[in-house]
Amino acid sequence: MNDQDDALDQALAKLDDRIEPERDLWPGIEAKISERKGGFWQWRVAASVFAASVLVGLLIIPPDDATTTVAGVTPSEVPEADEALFRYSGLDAEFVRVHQRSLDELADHLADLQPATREVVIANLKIIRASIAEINEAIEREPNNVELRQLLRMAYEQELAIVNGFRRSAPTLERTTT
Amino acid sequence: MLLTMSADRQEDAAQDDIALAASGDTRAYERLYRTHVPHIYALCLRMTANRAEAEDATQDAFVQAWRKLDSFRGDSRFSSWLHRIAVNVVLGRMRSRKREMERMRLVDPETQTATPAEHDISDLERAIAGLPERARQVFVLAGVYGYTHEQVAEALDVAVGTCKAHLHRARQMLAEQLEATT
Repeated sequence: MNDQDDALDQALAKLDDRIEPERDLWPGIEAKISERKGGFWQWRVAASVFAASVLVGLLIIPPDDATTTVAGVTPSEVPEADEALFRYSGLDAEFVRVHQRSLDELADHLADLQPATREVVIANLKIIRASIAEINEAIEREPNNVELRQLLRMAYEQELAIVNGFRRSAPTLERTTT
Repeated sequence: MLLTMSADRQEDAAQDDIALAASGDTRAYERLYRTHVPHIYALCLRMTANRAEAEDATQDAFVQAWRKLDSFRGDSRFSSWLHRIAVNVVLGRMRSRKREMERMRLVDPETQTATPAEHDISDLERAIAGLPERARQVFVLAGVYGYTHEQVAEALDVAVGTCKAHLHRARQMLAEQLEATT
């Protein structure tokens, strides 16, 4: 090895393995990966909302004996509406109030339903509540995603549709709330 | 002495972020980006000798890595895995550019004088940037980052002997350049 090689190796040893880019490259990267991930989330969330909406149709079928009281059914079986679930919805206070009142009524009269219908109601509410939680999680990742917020509103509408379906199939509730 | 790609401590601390990022957490991925971007950008800049191209290649590398995170099994260090992706991205972009230039018959990249990077660089960095493209690629991968001739030959799709010849040529040119500047 000659002097030239020595000088080169010494210079190589001093090379810094870190060079910072002159501009922040992350925004460009984030935009590209968010496009893809956003699509993934939206597809997944939309699928869950759609699944819930299909099941809502089952509630339209009126029970043979809507006044049958089932022992052991408690309001706690209806998933509670956590206030945090509304934080990204942009829904006004009146909607939230009506929504909560509907759920309370549902809880109060759940025991009036036939067991099979009751199970469908509860199962649907759990599905839609899981969808809402999933959408909220997605919005946390992408706070500016307008489509996700639209999906969230759709999910709340689906939840109300479930409650309304229950109202149509529960004569005793119709009597008490109209 | 060869440059190391990342510190072991960073690797340990990054394990959680890797798992989170693989599950879709972009914030965790941003932390990984912040940790590794100086190493990846340095590689891209030395390979391309062009700041704008290095920035684009760095972005592409991180986007590709994000898309492949599911396939990262931890068999190698994350920094090494990311480094390989970046090398492939840079070489892929350079091949595309070369094909484009050949179609347009503008210049021969082998004889093109590279644009020195605009950051505060040493004489050696400037000399590396001035190497012919293929010699620069070989020198950066084998001479700076410690890839074996076999690995470099495979990445560049050339014979091992060709790779050795390029490295020898690059070292000669760099040594002469350094001597001339001192």
